[in-house]
Amino acid sequence: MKPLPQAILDQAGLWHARNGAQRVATIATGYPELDRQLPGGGWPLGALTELIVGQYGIGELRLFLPALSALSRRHDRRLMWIAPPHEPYAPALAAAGLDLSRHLVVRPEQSRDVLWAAEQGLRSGYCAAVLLWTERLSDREARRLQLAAESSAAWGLIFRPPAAAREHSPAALRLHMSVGSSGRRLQILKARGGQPAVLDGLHWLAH
Amino acid sequence: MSRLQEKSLPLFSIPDEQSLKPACDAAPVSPFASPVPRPVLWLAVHLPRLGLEVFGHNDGPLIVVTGQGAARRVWIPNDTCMAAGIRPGMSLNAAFALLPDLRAAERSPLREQQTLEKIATRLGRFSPRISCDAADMVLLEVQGSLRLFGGLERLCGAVRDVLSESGYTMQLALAPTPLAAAWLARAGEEKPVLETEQLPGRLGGVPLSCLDWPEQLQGTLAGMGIYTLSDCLRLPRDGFARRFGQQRLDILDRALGRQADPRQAFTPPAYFEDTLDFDFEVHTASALTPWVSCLLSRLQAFLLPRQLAVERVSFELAHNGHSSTRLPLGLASPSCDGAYIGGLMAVILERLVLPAPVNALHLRSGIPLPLRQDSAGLFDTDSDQPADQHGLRELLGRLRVRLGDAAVYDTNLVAEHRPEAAWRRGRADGDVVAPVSVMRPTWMLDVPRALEIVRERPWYRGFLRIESGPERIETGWWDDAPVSRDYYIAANPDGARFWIYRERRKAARWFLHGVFG
Repeated sequence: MKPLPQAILDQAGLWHARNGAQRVATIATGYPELDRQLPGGGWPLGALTELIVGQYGIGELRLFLPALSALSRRHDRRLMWIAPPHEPYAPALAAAGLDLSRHLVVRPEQSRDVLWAAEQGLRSGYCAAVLLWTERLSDREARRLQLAAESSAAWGLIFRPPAAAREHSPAALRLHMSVGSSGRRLQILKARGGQPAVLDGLHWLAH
Repeated sequence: MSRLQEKSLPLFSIPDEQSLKPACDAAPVSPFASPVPRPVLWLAVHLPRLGLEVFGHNDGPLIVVTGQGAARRVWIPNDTCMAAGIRPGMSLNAAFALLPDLRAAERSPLREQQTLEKIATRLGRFSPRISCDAADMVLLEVQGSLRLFGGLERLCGAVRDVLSESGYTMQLALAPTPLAAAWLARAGEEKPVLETEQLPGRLGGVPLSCLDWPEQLQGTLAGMGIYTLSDCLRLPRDGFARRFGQQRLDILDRALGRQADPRQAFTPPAYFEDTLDFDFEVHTASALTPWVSCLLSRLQAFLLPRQLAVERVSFELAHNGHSSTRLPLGLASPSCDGAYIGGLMAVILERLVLPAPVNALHLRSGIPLPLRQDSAGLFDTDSDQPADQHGLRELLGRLRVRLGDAAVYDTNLVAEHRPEAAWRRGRADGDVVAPVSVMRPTWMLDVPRALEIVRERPWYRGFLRIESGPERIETGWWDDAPVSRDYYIAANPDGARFWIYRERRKAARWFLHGVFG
């Protein structure tokens, strides 16, 4: 396509489609290669990010740890981990630079309390990020969490099983992580204000 | 009578008569009395209808009766009964004849005493010196509180507000001695007496029935034509003491401020306890919310003036014909904020299913602790930072109430080589522990999981291929959980990486201990 003449682009009354995305507050992922692919140059704050992952142990936390560590040092707000599949190992988190005084683990016994706790955390304004592991999440529930995240500019991070990839979701960013023949692979399924992309052979997730 | 009067001095001088000074040598003078006594002012809060008001405030016809058997008499009728013509002193049968559907309650001195103490506790914010010796009266020494509460009128107004909010009828009076204030309040004399010198004159018109003296004595005095205090004060001192006892003379001396009247100070209870009895039944838990907040605002009024806070409260719902429901509530940190505790209770109530309708609500606090107040910074430069940690505590409190104390925790490092002991739940103990520099997994299994061995190789969702290791951890020989392990980082065919170890003792088994998430 032929680019538009600069004189038209400079007109004050013209709205650029890319501008919408640039207004979203983001936090750098810590991986420049990934930042370049994401609208706003990082993880969107005040919104939901969904990571679809088939098995644990392929670097699914490593992906978010630099941003979580930065958030934990930036404000006096908590990082709330709700219903993690195993114990988040404090020495490893501290070694990655996370401030443990901001770290908070919540383990509800019943699955319906998981979403309740997540909404409380996102809505309160006292959580910089809420990490959530859940098997099921209906569209309506996801919308509620999205609204809660918007209301307090918190980062809602949801880990979901592969079956969720087929469902519709209001999350601002949806990712799928897997291991292929050429190493770790991260698919951007949906990015509000951006475009789907695939990043392959991600050595920095494997160490 | 008149002959007696001629012979000796009158009992007390009446100011307008300008008679001789009374004989004060009988009164003990404290050796510690300062030459200029500190002025005192007693506020008497008289509750004339307390005996009725302890049975609630509804409009149905209700009388409180005293006496036994056939001698049972109406003691206090409520307004509905008064309108129907029932008067105090009427026989019970006569009252029933006037209003067949009235409810008659036996006088309950115990309930009166409890209610009076509750009132005294609530009035505790007005004075540190409170006396509630009489059955229908609370006395407060208020001279020292006048400036704080902005003068007499405002103080009395505030006292009235506290009591009328709960529907109590009251009469207030002010005098320099507790007895004088009490008698004036019973007589309905609301104009304050501020000077001791005015007492004999102002007390003069008080009828003797306000004095708590036995009826027989009042009858004797009435037979002598003595109905008011001024009649009494004209009697000669020695004759009065001989006929009616030195005690009675002392009482008059105390009331007029000529003798010290030490009072035992009322001590408020150590913890808060209150009950709301409903005249109706509450069928849903959420409908209890306004009553819960009512009790909690009383709790706050109990705690705040004493600078106390509680860590635990316990609600009890009484049911008709069913054992009561207890709702204990632990707070994340001590609080005296009724609204905050109310918010936590709302979380409990919204999930509570009542086994039976509720007819009473009871609140009891845990042992109060000193309140710690944090002040916010004067210049709040970082707008991102919440100005106070109150909201965070509130969030944690809500989570703990619904999910249980153990379900919400923070983590900290422990200086320890055993991986499972290198962290712990809960607060840091103050030690600064440097994070480990060697590679550690982000996920840790609560209990190491024994790995299958297939063809002499550890297997977990496929054969595990060892990427690096071993890292030998051999420690803890001094306690009962020694470890001696070789740790490896291993990957399975799907590309997931694990932290596994082989025991160096016993059977040399393989275990999965962590996951590199």
